[in-house]
Amino acid sequence: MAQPVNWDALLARLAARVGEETPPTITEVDKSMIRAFADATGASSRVYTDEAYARGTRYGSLIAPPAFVSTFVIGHMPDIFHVADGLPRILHTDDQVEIHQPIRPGDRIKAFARYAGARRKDGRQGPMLFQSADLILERHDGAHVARVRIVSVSF
Amino acid sequence: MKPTPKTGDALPVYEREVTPEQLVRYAGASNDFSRQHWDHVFMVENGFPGVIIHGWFTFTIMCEAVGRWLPPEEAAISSFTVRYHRTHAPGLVRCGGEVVSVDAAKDGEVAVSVWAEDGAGNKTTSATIFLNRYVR
Repeated sequence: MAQPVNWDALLARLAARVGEETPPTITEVDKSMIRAFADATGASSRVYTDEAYARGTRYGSLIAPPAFVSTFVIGHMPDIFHVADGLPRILHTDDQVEIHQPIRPGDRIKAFARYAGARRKDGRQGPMLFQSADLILERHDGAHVARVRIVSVSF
Repeated sequence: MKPTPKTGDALPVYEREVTPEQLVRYAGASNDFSRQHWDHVFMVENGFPGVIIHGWFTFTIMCEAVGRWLPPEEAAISSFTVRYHRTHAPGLVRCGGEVVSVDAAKDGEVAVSVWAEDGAGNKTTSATIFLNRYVR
């Protein structure tokens, strides 16, 4: 039996968490990680896997596919999202992503997530909790790499 | 080089069969080992018919549909928004889309509306993907 949710208390508690950040992780990206991602997703362009070919393109080196930004999510999300009593199921509903720089082999990427907010929405199956958080990716030289806003729904 | 895309141009439909084994491969490559994508019993206990494709995995297939039409050598994806409308079970992923704008003020930035549907024709995922034709 699902427990009743005290929405006012829940939303107040989550509003107090806005701005909270996860401890940063540092990942050194190498060619094999990019190749494994390209192979697993069926990304067919040689700019992801063929070093000699990629050098001759406008990128000048191998790059990671755009959705590679998702590989930094782990350790930050869904952990940053609150799992509420009475709303045990949580699904990913939206991503809003800005890519400032392609990720290349040799990049050391710092990643952390920042809690962005929570709201209630009433759906056909009852009230649902929407939460959002931003994953921020920065390169070792301080360059902004990407911002990934992820929205989840609990019901 | 590909001719400059125009608003209303359609992307060729791209289809792929996704197997449960590919979900495990994707989990490894993306570090996303959420049980929704490999633990059938867990999903049934939580009211789903079975495991589901990672939302980001579906999105990578939508990116491949775009890349086969306008390859990364010619245009870089600079931003995107993705909405997951419903879960997508392993099986067919069918993607298509169209150009929704070409912004001359932004060096010809192309916005493409892309969708993915499952084998039953349910639209599971939609995205707007912005591409810069000139890499800075």
